[in-house]
Amino acid sequence: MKSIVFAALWVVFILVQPLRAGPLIRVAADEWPPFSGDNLPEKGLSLEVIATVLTRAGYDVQVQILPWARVLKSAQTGQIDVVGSLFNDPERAAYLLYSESYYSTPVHFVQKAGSGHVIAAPADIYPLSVAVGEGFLYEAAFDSDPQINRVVVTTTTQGLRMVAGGRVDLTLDSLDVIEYALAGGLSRLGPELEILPEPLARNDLFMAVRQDHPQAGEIVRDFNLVLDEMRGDGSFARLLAKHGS
Amino acid sequence: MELAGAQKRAGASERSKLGLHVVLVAVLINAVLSVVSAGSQLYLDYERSRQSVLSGAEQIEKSFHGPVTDALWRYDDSQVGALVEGIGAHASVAFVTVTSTEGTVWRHGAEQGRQDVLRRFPLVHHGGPLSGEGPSGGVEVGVLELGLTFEGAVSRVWAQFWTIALSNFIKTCIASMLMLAMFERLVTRNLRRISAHVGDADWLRTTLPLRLPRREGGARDEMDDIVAALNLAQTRHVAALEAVQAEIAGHHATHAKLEQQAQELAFAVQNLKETNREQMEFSYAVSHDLKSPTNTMAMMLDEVLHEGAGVLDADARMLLEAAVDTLGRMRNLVDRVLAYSLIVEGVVEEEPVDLGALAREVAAEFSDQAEAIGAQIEIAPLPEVTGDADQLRVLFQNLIGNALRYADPQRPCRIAIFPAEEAGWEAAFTVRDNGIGIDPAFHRTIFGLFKRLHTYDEIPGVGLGLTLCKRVVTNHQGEIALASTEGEGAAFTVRLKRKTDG
Repeated sequence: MKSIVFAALWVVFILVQPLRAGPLIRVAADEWPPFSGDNLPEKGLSLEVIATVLTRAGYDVQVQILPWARVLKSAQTGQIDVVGSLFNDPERAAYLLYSESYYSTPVHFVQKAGSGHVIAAPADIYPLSVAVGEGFLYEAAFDSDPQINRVVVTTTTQGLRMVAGGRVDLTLDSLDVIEYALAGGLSRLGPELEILPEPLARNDLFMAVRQDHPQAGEIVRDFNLVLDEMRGDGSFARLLAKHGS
Repeated sequence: MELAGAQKRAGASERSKLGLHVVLVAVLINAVLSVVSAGSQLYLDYERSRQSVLSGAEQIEKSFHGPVTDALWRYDDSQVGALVEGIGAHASVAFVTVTSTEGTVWRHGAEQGRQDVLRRFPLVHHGGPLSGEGPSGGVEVGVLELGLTFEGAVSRVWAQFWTIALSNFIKTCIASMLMLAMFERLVTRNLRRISAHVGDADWLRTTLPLRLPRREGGARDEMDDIVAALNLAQTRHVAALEAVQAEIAGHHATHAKLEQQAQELAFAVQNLKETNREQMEFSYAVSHDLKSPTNTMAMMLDEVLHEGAGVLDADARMLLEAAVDTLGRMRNLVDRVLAYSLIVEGVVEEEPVDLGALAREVAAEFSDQAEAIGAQIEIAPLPEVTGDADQLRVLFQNLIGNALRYADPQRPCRIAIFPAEEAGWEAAFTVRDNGIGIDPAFHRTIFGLFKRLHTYDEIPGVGLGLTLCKRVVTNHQGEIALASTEGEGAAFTVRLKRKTDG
């Protein structure tokens, strides 16, 4: 009798699990290792942080990697709920509700080894060509300066290879991204590239919920709360350490 | 009728052979023309497709050179890969490879070596920031190799070929059946009807015209012209047949009449022969019976003259001498009539007769008479003839005798006997003299019985000589012609035994 009741309760428990699960949150980021990528552990640092925090906050999280332009478009059209791994941009704040920053990374220039470029002021960049990622944000003044000679690329890897190939003078990105690239598939280019020591800026990484999500504010609030908790109990640091940060 | 019936039955059970031949020839000609036409069309299509493939390479180079170069320049591997896939999706592209200057290769398609055409395009980036212009005016970022195949063009041509072949086959089958059916209806059916009509044994004996099954007011064609010609021929033949039949009937009537006339003629001839024979028998009998009394009277008168030489006066003697002379004339007449009666019978004893020898024998008989008047008779070699020697002798006797008798006393008598033109005759000769001649007015009558141009006192004679000559010549299926002028002699040309054709 007891076993029958116990079994019945288990069946009910299993059946109600979907009812117990929290709302589904669709999270998307672009291929931007080490922060996000299909082949990265847990899809990258940013997506593991976001997924871990939101799951701990009681949400059911679904993660996917998309091209950056599609990530933003999908957020605008409601095909995804959360954009992971982005810098804060006032233009995007019109349709995205940003969380607290969960990570900070410096943005450095990279030049061809021995080219001797010195970037002390924006004007130092003007005579040079700079490979920039399409849709990427680096630094507000840099991003809006019309005098910069931009060569648009799709990925940071492209930019690094163009610099190594002498096709552009500079490229820039998060130091984490640059170091990850040079430690991985572009390791052979290491001797040919030089990371300028002075960062252009230090950017915070955020997660952002689309403004038209009915629980946008709640999700951000929950994210922030859990993030604080995880920082407090050390689990966040352990999480970052997993990714070498 | 039986033949026509058999033809009808045969026609109904057999297909139209003529129609089959026509359709077969038409199908063969159509097939040849279709093959030539389709072949030309397919060849042109294949050439166009080839050119399209070759120009496609140019189009690909034009369309993709820039984007691939740019992607290579930017190290946008995924874009290069996407562009290579896009190029490779082109139907005529067997394979495509893009090789960067760093040695990275993007490939799509079959292995190299299976292409029909290989094109190679260097990818050179021009302009842009930090372009690094080289000596060629640009920076080489890689090479685009394009392998093109005509397999698609060939496949299309084969597909077109089979489509055309199948459609032509179906079209030909349908057209052939329709043509055969139409030929059967328009030609063969009518030809069978015409054949049955003409094959009827009585078709040329009746005026019943042939009619082809036609709708009222329907169009006429060459079949109707044939039928009209046949009907016209039939009508003409019937009319000609009737005319011939009428002519035959007329000939039969004429023949019957002629037969009757021939019978009457034969009867008359027989009667005439009988009459002639009786006349000749009468003449012979009378002349023969007269000969004895005349001879007796002549003997008596001679006796009287001889015994009464001293008693008779001059007048009595003259009368008796005149009587003797008259009796002599009568005896001569009786002899001549007797001879004529024998010859006029017309019986000819057929034997080869040497006319020259015969003429010389007769001339020898007249040698005394000829010598008496100083006449010369020249006889040339004459041909031989099959005839009655006795009658021919009489002929020469009368001709030579007349020539001597009617000699011109003013000049020496010359008689020539020589061969004449004998074309169409077994023998022909001429007896010519230089005597007194004969007036052409009498050339016909002189051959009549007892006809003379002179009195007995002028030139003795009975008037039967030339009649006998004509009778002998007639008995020998010949003719005798006279050429003479008064005072210039006469030439009698005798032709004997007319030759028949064949």
